[in-house]
Amino acid sequence: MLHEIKPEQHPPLGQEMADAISTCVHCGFCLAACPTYKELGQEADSPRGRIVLMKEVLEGNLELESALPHIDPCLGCLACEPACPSGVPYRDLISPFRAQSESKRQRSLSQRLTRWMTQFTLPYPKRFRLAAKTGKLAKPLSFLLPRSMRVMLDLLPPRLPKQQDWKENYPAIGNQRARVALLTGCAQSVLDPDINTATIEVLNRNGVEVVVPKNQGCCGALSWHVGNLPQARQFASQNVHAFPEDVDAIVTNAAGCGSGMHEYHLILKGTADEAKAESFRHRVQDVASFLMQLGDLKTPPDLGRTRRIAYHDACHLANAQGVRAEPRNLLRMIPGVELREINDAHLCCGSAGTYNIDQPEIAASLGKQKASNVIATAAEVVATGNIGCMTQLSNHLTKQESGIQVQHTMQVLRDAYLASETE
Amino acid sequence: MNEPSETRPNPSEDQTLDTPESLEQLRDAVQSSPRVLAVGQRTKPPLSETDATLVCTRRLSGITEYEPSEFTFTALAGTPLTEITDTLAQRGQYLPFDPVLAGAGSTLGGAVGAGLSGSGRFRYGGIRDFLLGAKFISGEGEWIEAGGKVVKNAAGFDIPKLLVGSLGRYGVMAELTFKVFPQPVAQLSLGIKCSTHELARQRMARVAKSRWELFAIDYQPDPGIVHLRLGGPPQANDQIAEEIQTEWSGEVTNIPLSESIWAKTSELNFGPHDTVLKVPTTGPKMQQLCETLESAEGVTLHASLAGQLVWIAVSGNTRLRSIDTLLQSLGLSGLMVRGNGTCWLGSENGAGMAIGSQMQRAIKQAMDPTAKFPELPFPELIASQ
Amino acid sequence: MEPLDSLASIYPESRFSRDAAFQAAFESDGLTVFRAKPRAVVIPESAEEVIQTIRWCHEHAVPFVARGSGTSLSGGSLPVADGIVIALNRLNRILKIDPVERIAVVEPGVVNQHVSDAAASEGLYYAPDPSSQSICTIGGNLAFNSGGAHCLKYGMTSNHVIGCKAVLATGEVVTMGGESLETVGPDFTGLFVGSEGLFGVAIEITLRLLPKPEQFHTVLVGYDSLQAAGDAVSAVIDSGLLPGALEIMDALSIEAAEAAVACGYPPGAAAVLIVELEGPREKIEQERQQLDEILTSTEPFAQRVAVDEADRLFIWKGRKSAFSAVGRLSPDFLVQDGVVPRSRLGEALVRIQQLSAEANIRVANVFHAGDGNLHPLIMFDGSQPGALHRAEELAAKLSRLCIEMGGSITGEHGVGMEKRDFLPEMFDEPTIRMMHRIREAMDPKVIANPGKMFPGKEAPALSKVGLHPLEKAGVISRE
Ligand SMILES: Cc1cc2nc3c(=O)[nH]c(=O)nc-3n(C[C@H](O)[C@H](O)[C@H](O)COP(=O)(O)OP(=O)(O)OC[C@H]3O[C@@H](n4cnc5c(N)ncnc54)[C@H](O)[C@@H]3O)c2cc1C
Ligand code: SF4
Ligand code: SF4
Repeated sequence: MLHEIKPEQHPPLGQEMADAISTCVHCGFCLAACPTYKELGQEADSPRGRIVLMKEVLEGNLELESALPHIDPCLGCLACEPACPSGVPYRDLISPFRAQSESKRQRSLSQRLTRWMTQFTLPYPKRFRLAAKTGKLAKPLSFLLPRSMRVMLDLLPPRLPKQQDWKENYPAIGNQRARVALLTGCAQSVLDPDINTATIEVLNRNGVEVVVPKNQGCCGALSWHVGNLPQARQFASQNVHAFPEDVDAIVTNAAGCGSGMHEYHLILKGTADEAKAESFRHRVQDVASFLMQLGDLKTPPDLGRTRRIAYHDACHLANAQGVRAEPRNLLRMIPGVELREINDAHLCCGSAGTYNIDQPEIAASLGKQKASNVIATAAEVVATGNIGCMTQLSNHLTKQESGIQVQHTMQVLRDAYLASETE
Repeated sequence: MNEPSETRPNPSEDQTLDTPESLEQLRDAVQSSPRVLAVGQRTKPPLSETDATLVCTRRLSGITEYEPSEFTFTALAGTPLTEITDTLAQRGQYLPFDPVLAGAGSTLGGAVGAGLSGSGRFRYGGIRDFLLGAKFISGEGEWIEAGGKVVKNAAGFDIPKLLVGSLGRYGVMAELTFKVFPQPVAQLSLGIKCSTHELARQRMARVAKSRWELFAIDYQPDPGIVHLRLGGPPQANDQIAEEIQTEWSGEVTNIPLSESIWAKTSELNFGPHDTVLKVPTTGPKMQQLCETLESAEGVTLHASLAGQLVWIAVSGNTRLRSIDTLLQSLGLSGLMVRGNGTCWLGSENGAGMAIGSQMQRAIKQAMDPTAKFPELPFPELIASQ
Repeated sequence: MEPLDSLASIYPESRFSRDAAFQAAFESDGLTVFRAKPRAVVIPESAEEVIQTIRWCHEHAVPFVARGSGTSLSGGSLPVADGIVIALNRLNRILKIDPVERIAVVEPGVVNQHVSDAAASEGLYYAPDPSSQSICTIGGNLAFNSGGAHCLKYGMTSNHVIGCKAVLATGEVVTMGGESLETVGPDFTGLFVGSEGLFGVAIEITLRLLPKPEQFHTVLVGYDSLQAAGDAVSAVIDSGLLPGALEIMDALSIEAAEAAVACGYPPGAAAVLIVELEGPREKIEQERQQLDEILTSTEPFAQRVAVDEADRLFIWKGRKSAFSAVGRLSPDFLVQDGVVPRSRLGEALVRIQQLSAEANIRVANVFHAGDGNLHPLIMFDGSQPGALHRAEELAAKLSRLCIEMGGSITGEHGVGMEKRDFLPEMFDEPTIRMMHRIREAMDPKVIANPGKMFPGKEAPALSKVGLHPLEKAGVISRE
């Protein structure tokens, strides 16, 4: 699409945004993949519509405030990217645009409060733990709070798992085949620390030494995707320094974190860490993809029973990182597993970072549809690779009174390995 | 209003009949009379029952362009259908919709004006789907060249389609371009005996949806046989026929092509009847028609297109009134294509043709501003003018 | 000025918008060189709302444009500056699938692919398959008489629309055709299909469904020249086979598709031909042998048969992504659509190459070879001064070439904004006059999608050279 954007007026990512726009040929193929278009059925809330709106804002032809009601509902799920034959890197547009508009927009007091709350707590495990506990206490009083904060409270699990800390090093079991560094994540380490434990276990069992860098922080994806560039930069910069160079990969087990770290070159563009970020991002790999690449994996024992497992594609794994086949193949490796595909698999579950909090109606509708589709598979377990999706899925499965268990792919795999020892 | 007339004199006897031999003469003929209707060989007399001057195109005959590898031909409107089918057959091609009344002498223009397609319409489409372009004279005496000469064309309004079934009331067609298809290598005909009309309907629905890709599915209510036509390499036809035979074992017979109904159906030859009506419908109403008229004397029904088209053949005009009533009660419309009398029977909105709408009047006005051609012989329209 | 508020009162607030964001989002379709901001956008959820809207437009003589998914490549759904856009995407219900009569009755905003999806469990499908089928709507297909790769055997949209309920620009609601394949009387449905939204808005459409072919035999053949691929098409046609599809892509479009979807076309091919046979397995068994012999005699340098359905879709994916994929080769391009007599395809291709070389503009070629339907993709860089103008000049030459060769200026994308200047070159004056009269019969006030299909003064005409007064006034613009 032709445009009259002057990239230099929109530093530091003006060029990236302009390039994404000019690659778009306005063909509309992405509309078919976009969850918000499906929900709202109007052009302005489609990827193509949003691209035009952002273009108009960047050109100075449209007020930011007019565009935002349609930009905000974007899940950032990136389903539009694989659907686009022209190869528009939508992520290069939406996140920079959000970052840029954050400083210019006006938000209501309650919005600001909610955003401050989420951004002050979520990325920091200790604060989040505390807030979560307080939040639980506050649940009975939630009717006093602004709606967005009420939604936030609703999302908290009824009880938090026990706190866990990890050592700095976990040696490989048996022959060492590789060495990786693990990002433990922030919200994930509070909401479900077992995911990390399982990940380490699976890696170790396959001859991989795991280091857990002490100084690592939140990946910064959350801040980046909601447009808080300063905070995102701070985290990103911290991480590019915290992670060692002498590992085969920097492994992530939360799709959102992984995709965020893949975008460090954008986040840190124009800072002193720009070059470091570029090499860093190429070493980041989702654990499923790392394992499949490693190959020659240990097969879990055959217990002689079948298990129906549905696999849910986390957007930030499937669309953002192109990891679709690997987790499925890992699950298929477990003897007796019957893998079920979920209808409308490409549709986001509505979790998408803080989306639940910002766009509760769409999030709820998507969550409901996803849960129904999961239930329709008649699986016993639904596996996925992202903590946000897991929370959303269990929430909506519970609402529909389903007993389907939600697990991380690594947890399923770990359990399969361990089964041999308990037998 | 819908009263079928029984006593009208045969119009051709006291009517002028102009038979131009060139396009020039054709135009002169149109211009020189105040009211004109084009006819071909008048194989469908009810459609041209009018007091307007009849201009006959039968001397404007001949294929003007035919490029087999192009899948198209162009011919003058008065060209007999048989000449066309013969020419195409020599190059292994055909008009897949089984042109109607070819043997009776029907011309290409007449076939378009009447909008008739035979049993083969089921597979690839009807005359409307194969007509690509038309050159015709408007009421103002101007040459109009609509559509195109290539198999695909989306430029401008599809006026040629509007001429299909227009009964010559929108213009005088002079030259027509058609799409053609390669003929299937071989054809094969099967008959399935059905004890009730309902069973016949069910079986037609079953075969119509099947993987076999039948070329035609017809039904003869008396003696209760569903007819199937297969087309393709002979070996494939045989194999499919065998499967159909096992499906309804004992009830399916192989009918030699020479004895099959297809040719007779295209000629609207359903027994010793002088009147034939075309009634578009759907399965359930086809069944009702069959049931209601089962024992009616002097009436033969024939269903085509897996039950979506019923031909009602009648002897004499005496039964027409009750058929008219029956069609009305079922919400169906019928076009009388053989016999004599008003060509319209049954309900006004049966065929979904927007009778009586502003639109229909406005289009007639647009196509024929000077009212050179007769009105469409549809009751509501006549009544409201 | 008419009281827009009375139109607003038909709709809840969320479905009537005068908002700048809506005006921007709807300002163009698949042909972005034209842009115009509508006065308002309405999003009806019922046929009744559409009827009321059009009656309102008729009463106040306000122009309107119906819009499906806005994938028109000829500017068909370009808004009329100062008019109303009726976005039909929420009228997306499939009202009925009748497996016995093999029909589907749908609202106009239903996406093409969704019809086949809904009919799949009955073993039926909707045959016309424009490359945009995953998103374009049946209403848009109907308005443009859209085609697709499988037109050769089953025809265009028109062959599959057997009935239609529409509200004309006069506000009159008419029912044309019905549920039977046959009708009596003039074929109004046939006239309405392909009328490019100039008559009114289709609100309920009855489609014919076909049994899904049991088996496909899809062959991807690589040639070292376009000419050889063209000759192969003639050989197939002359053999008496009737393939479901016969498609050719040239080297540039192969390159683009390969970059987009890694479709695995034979590397180094100057052209690929896709031939697809379809039908019952017994027939395919016989016909594939025949096809094999023919193709072997054309001396291809590579040949691959789809091994299963996934592989087949993979082959098609390259073809169906081709248009948008060219976005990877060039920042901007014009998708052209012209028809030449099939036997003159080779000649046409040579002429196109010459014209492309003369203008020093790259042209990729994708075409429905069986139908002689060409899609030259004219590449340019819109940020270069004058580049668009030069691309448009080349496009004009290509359109004239098609007319000259006895073909058509459009096979399936419609005239729209883009080709309107060429309609009078294809049809003579009396024929154009008659079209005008028909249009006025349907739309005496000229409010339904004005400015499209016919050249003329009516809004939002953009002159091909220089700025149009409306452009100068900033009411409409082109990039
Ligand atoms: C990548 C790409 C590939 C394509 N491939 C093909 C192809 O293979 N074959 C092909 O034929 N086309 C193709 N097209 C063109 C386009 O997809 C078709 O023309 C399609 O039919 C348009 O549908 P739409 O829903 O997007 O309609 P729109 O673009 O929204 O509208 C098209 C026209 O229809 C009118 N309209 C829409 N709905 C109605 C209604 N209910 N009643 C009356 N008028 C209405 C509009 O006013 C407009 O004039 C392609 C386009 C793209 C972008
Ligand atoms: S990121 Fe997701 S929600 Fe946003 S435009 Fe793309 S597909 Fe739609
Ligand atoms: S699919 Fe890609 S090129 Fe097409 S409109 Fe969407 S983003 Fe633009």
